[in-house]
Amino acid sequence: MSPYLHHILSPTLLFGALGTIAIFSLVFKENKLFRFFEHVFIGLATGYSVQLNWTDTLRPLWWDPMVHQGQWGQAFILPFCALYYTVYSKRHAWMARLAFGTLFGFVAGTAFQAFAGEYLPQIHASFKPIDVPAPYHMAQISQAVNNLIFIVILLCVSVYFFFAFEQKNPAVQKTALTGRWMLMIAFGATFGATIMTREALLIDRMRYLFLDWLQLDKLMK
Amino acid sequence: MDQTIWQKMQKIDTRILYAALLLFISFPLIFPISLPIIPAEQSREAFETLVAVSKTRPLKPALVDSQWSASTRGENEWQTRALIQHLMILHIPFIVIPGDPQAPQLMGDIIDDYKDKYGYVYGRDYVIVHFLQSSAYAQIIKGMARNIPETLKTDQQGKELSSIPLMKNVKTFSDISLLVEITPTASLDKWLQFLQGTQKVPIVVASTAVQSPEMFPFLDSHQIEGLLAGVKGAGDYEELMGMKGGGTRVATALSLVYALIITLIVVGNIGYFAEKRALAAARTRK
Repeated sequence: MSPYLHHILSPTLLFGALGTIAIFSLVFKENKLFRFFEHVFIGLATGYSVQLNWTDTLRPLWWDPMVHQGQWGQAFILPFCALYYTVYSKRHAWMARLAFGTLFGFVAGTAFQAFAGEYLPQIHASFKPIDVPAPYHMAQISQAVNNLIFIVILLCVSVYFFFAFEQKNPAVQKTALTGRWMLMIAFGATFGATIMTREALLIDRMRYLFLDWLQLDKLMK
Repeated sequence: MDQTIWQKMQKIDTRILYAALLLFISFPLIFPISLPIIPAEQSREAFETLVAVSKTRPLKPALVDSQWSASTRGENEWQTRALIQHLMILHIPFIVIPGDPQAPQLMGDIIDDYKDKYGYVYGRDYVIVHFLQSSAYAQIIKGMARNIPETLKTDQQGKELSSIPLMKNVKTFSDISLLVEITPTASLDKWLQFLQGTQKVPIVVASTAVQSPEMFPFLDSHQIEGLLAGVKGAGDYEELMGMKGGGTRVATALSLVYALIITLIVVGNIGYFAEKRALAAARTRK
């Protein structure tokens, strides 16, 4: 067998290539090969995550310290966490609240710090100067214009999300409408970026098929 | 009833569209072509941040938080390759924190490709910490603010971090020069929430394109110092390093795909408006 054939028939590469082609075959038509590989993928992913949960999390962080390092107190974690499953019983559902309540307490405690750490710098950064100090350089003028655009958009979008009273005043309505348009433009940019990610992932699979598996770039040289 | 040219322009057979897409993707992959890459401002800022960090003395290690898995390899791999190479070129030691179960292997493979070229030695110049549950990052970062080796405990081979030479002088975030966040998720939030409140460590982010719009406000408020947005960011970074690697090749293919998509949108819209006008004209004649 030639080295090239040996390469493209190697089981790992071949299975990866067949799986990729089978999954992409859906764009033409629903078919049995697609279904088969879809189930293979789901089975692999589920088995992989179950195994990882044990080897990378439960065993090193819970089982080993409890069994081998004398941290027997960790034995209480299992029955406590199992309380979550009591939501499936009407009679015992109240027990799940103990677990939920404890978790909420932990999360609420960190939420204040999280908000301050993430959003306060953004609030601070939204106070931008719109005056241009002398001497009037072009860079400063353009920065001031940028800042003005930022502030106008910030105010318009904030007004759009102000639901405390009915927006009857035409000035408020127009401001909110402008805010909505700005949001739509932002969503459009986000959608464009989403397409970019999807296309990049598609290109990666094509790279796998054409370069890693078929090595077309080397063949064409 | 026969379709007019305008109707045909709006209803091109999807099989033709997919075939065109395949052609536009495969051509630049098989026959590398060169399109000009103009690095974005945020990519340049990321590049300059790494250069600035490399000039600080004493040179402290960088943290590389790798949150990606094979599912976003198409974007994150090229970003990682570019950033890891730049760290090595600048001789910045680094500690890899894998926030995804696949990350230790993926990062290890990429580092192995370059470590001999740049003379990097495991334990002396870089360390890969064992996998950390990203859902517990709030607690992990808070722990790291107190004591990094004690919180992260071991490397991926189970060796105590405190016994690794690189970690000898690393105790808290004040011993870290830079955080490089490579992510397909919103994992940056945790670092902003719990790291920046305690210590000002410059952060450079490499995110998937779909995540990048969420990152720009952080860039604007200087909570992060640079951003590689998707595979375009990887191509930008290679351009800034003066290299033509996989990131450039994929970014080129992406540019052609975008050209195709924009062309098809324009064609479809021309068909739509022309048909509308033709129908209006026909109605007027009646």
